[in-house]
Amino acid sequence: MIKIKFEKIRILETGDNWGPWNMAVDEFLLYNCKEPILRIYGWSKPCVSIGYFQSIDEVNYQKCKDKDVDIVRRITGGGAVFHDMELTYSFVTKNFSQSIMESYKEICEVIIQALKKLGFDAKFSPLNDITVDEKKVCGNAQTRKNNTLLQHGTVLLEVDVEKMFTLLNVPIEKISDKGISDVKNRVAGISKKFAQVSDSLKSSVRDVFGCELVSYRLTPEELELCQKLTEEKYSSENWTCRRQY
Amino acid sequence: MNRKLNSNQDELVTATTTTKLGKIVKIKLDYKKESQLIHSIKITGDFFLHPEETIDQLEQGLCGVKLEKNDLKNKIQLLLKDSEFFGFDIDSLVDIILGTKGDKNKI
Repeated sequence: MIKIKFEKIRILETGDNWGPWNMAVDEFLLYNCKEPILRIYGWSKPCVSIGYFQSIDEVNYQKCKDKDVDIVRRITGGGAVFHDMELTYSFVTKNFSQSIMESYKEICEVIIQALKKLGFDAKFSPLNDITVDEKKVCGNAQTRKNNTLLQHGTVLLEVDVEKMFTLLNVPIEKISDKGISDVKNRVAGISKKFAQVSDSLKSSVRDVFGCELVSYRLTPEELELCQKLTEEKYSSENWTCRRQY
Repeated sequence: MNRKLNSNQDELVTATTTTKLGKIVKIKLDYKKESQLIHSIKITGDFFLHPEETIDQLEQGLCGVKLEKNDLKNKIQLLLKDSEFFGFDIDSLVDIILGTKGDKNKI
């Protein structure tokens, strides 16, 4: 049972962009939230994002450079994510359950319903994952600042586990003794088109929260502020490498 | 685990380990061998901690704390009292820090 309801949610579709820009827009929305907003976006080139608390050593820096893969640090916790063939969303709101577990569950319900519309038996896997047939298809992370919640997450369309592992220095503890094959059994893409998932997501956010959807575009002034954040924070080594051994 | 002696004969130790709950918690610990006081500590991983900035207070607040179970637990409880965290608990974090030191008899 979803407790939070909205009258209106803004839909912001920003298309495909590079990693630092994508993270800058999410931060901008977090600190400038007037009305709840669902942003849907993609990646113009592959990117590894690392969690707020992770060491930059989690990423194979040289390999990413060689393969022209961006690296960006998120303002949210969680693990390293290889963004390539996926739909990414962010949801920003001042109206949310104070319980972190509850708020994950409520926002993930939108994704679960979107996946159900596409024919998948999706389930919430606490704290922050969504699974189909016990395989992770969606990971999420959130932060709260100034009484505003940002949750962003990825819906995996296709997964290239081998490529992902060449870019990450994944701890052997995380892979388990079965190695990469074990990860292949635990993670899956849903093999749908971006547009299909995007449409389903918009439909389900309206159904789950019982709200009107209003298309929204960033103004030139807002775009300028996002660009400033991109240049000064998310594309800077100071931010990306701020935590390391 | 890497160990080396600095000019003050203080042993520097670096190690990685994992929590009981599946999230990775990595510790870099520098401590004073004789006094058993933490000189500096870095806690990284794929856990969640709200608010996120608490990690800086946690790392700074642990400097000078003795590598002893009760001292560590009391200090971490104090430093995290207004926080929510997922992927580790206080007891496991204490164990990981002490395990990094490599002196399991103290746990």
